[in-house]
Amino acid sequence: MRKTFYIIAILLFVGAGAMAQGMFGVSYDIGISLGETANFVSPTSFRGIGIEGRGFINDNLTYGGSFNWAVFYEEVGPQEWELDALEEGSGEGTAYGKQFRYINSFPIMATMHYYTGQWDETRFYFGAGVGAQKIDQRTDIGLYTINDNTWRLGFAPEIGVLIPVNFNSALNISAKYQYALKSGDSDAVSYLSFKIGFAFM
Amino acid sequence: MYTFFKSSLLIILALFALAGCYPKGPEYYSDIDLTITDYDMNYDFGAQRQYYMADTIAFSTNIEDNELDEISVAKLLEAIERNMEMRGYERLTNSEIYKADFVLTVSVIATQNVQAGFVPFPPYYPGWGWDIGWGGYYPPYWGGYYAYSYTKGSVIINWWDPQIKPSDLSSKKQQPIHWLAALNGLVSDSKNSNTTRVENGIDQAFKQSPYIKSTL
Repeated sequence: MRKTFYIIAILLFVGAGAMAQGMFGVSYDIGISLGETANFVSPTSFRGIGIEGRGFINDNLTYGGSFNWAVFYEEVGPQEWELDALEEGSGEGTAYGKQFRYINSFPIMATMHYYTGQWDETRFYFGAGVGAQKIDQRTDIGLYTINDNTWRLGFAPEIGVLIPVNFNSALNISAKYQYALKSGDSDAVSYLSFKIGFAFM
Repeated sequence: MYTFFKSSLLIILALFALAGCYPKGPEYYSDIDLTITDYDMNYDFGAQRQYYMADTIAFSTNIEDNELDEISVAKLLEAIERNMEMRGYERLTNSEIYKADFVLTVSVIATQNVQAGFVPFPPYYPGWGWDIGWGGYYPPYWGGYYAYSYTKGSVIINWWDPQIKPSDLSSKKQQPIHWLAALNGLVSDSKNSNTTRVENGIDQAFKQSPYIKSTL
């Protein structure tokens, strides 16, 4: 947790520093789980936020940092679940109950974006983030909890649009593909994130 | 700089909103009821017919009064007997115990847990709500002292063979268990509700154990 705090603090510091010659954004994120992530938790996540800072390299290029938090949740059952035999060769165990499944995804990325057009008009952009993703995956069944918390390498290509609201703020709408690599026995985590927020110049 | 503070305020508001809508998970006692069964694949359940089950159960607890008031033992035993009868097994009386092909023993374990502490700030970190969400007292959102207690309850049914003598046992020196059913959950204040949940759990234990069926 402390590690996460330091990384976020550094990113915010970089983002705040970049503000004088860039922008700072907050967003509400909606996540659609994909692949193996959808097998674990299929419902769309409406619980997500993001913050980011971008600094200008030139009129069309920015560098920056971003932090997001997406919460995926699904309640499954009650139904029967197969268990490994308590003792090898002794039988096949079965458990019946509800499973409560959670994924908390915390992508912390260094980003770069390219923009079309001029700053006083609607600008389309595309870019990508590379960095770390903290994935907390949890299954609660009965009074028991199975936790799988790992740091992963992650990347996130993104396309979006900035629509000016006034001279120093813009509506920021984008779609981002979040991908955290497989780690040990833990499956890769991927989801499509739709973001709507404000960018302050 | 003004814009930066405005942005920070938005972030804080967003964090509050997200913490507020964090998924709650289980809401009712029955949401966390669990029925687990396991069995000995080499045991011939079909070749058995008569069994012995005592009218009393073993009860172990860390609760001071040491009384099992939370469930009806009679209904618990009735539920087991009813399911066994439906599967073709016959319960023997105390005087016929020597004829038993196998024995069912039933035990109940109740463990009370008491926790108290202090939450200094809003609980943003995921998973917080789960750990103290059971029948306890939630601290206010801005933090504060809390205290809560909950009681975990388990009903365990063991199926074993009284014909096996200690000298016949393997080096593990344990009585082989041919079928195990464990019902696990939180104990509520309502005896009726607890009993109904246990009866449902017993029915489920048999439902997920189709191999339990006498062919004699």
